[in-house]
Amino acid sequence: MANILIVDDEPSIRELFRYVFEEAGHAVALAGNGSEALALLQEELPEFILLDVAMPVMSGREFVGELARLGARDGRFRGIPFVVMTGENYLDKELNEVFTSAAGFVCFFPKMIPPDEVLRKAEGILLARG
Amino acid sequence: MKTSSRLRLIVLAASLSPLLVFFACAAAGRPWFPHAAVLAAAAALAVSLLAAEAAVTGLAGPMASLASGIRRFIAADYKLEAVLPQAGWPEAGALISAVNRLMLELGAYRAFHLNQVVEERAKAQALLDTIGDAVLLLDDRNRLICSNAFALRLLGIRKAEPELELCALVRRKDFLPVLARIAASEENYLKMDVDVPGAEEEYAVTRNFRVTSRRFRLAGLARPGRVVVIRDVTVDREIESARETFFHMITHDMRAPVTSIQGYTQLLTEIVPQSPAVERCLLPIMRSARRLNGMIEDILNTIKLERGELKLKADGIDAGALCDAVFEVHEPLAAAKRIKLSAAPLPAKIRFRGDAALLERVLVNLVGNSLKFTPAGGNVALSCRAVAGEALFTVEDDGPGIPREKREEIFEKYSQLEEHKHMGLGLGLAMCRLAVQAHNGRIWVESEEGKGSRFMFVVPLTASGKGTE
Repeated sequence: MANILIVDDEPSIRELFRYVFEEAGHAVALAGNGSEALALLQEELPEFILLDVAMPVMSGREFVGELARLGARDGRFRGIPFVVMTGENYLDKELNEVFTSAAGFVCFFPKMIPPDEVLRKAEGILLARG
Repeated sequence: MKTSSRLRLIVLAASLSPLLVFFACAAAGRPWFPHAAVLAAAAALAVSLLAAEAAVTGLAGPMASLASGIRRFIAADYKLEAVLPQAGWPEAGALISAVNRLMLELGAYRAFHLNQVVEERAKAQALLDTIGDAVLLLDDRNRLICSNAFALRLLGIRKAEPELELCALVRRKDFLPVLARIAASEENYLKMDVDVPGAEEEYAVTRNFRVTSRRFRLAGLARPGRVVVIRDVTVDREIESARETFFHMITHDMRAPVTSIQGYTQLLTEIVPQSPAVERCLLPIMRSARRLNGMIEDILNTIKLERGELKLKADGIDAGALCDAVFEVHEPLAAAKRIKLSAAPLPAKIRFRGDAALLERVLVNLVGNSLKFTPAGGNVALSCRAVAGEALFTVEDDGPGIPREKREEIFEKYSQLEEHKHMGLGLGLAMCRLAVQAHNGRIWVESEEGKGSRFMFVVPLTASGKGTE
């Protein structure tokens, strides 16, 4: 059982992933944007983050930047594994690099990938990290 | 315990309970035995009621709440307010869990696709709004589906009412006749010009607009809708007018020297004895001078035909001789390009009255175009036959063909296919149409992309000739 943080502005997508991860026995926290996610992860440290790109208030890109700053100050927040869910077929090169160069980046997933695949990926990573 | 085992146990308990009561009564002795049947029936009833209650709690109850949960989900537009609690026996719980998952996925997919649609629409609108022309999309009942901001401003549309026809929304009266024509038309492609006088008398500047309309298909429409594009062509018109004046001037001045080159070369071929050098040098000069002269004629004819200044000569024309003349002029050119040019002999003589020089220019242009665009190894065929009181001329090739949406447009001045830009002035076909129309005829093209084109024109035959002799 692990702590999972799901960050997406679309409630129906958040709820779907919450259900899938909870059914698999994990504890799930939900955030509607990067700013809410930052507040939540300071309350309870997640072991895996599922991150959307385009969100109001604070986007996925800004969240990754903030997380890196937080990680530089406090080692607990460094290298938390995260996957990026994107609805766009194409991410521009610069944005692509922002994510791929961040500590903890695992992979990109197209938004409507079957949720079980995301669960499998997350559990694989959690298992590898012990 | 599995649901199937529970059900078997219930049936077993209900059927065994009367027997157990009998045995118990028998064991208890005589005083109980007369009541054994009643007691057994009571036991069977009690066990059955308990079993029914267990089945309701474990199966029927969860199924009923599942059904009402699904109904609520659909009524809430595929949004799951809260996941359904997993109650009842294990299989019922598993079913509820699977349905929860299904409803969540359905909701997420729906939200995702709606977002995509909104996003795509925003992209399309951003594109539309950056276009400098007014763009309107009409449905099959001429109601406004979509437009850019410029279109609304230009036509004076305050608010796009989805229930009203476009003409009912437009406040700028100058555009109404054209828009009404578009609404009533069944044509695939329409092009019309609108002149809009300036608003203030003193500084009135008339602006010219070109309105084009094409039909398009949408899955949701029973019949095709229309895309209407309104372009301000005031400046284009001024440029066009300047260009025409320039053309007119320059071609006029070029005519005399070119005629002189042609005349003297002709003279030289007659004076100088025949030799390979004469063939090699003088004949190409003759051909080039003739081509240049033809181009000058086309430009001047186009301008005169447009202005109604060209007086047609009424020559007696022999269609066969006309085709032969055009064939002879083009044969060397076709041979050089390794194209097979053919002119089928006419089945019968076709005679009519018309301007022979002008119609020869029409055929020269059509054959010249076919030779220009047909690749080496191709075929170009020229023919004429009489059909229903008209002479039908056909120039057919197996070149690249012409896209459907361009088949009308290519007969307009300066119109050229994108891939043929810089391959001439774009006047030839415009001249052809004007010349054929001046003979009360029609010109059109049939084509299949990748397979070839067939340019055809008809001119009425004179009453005396009736076409064939």
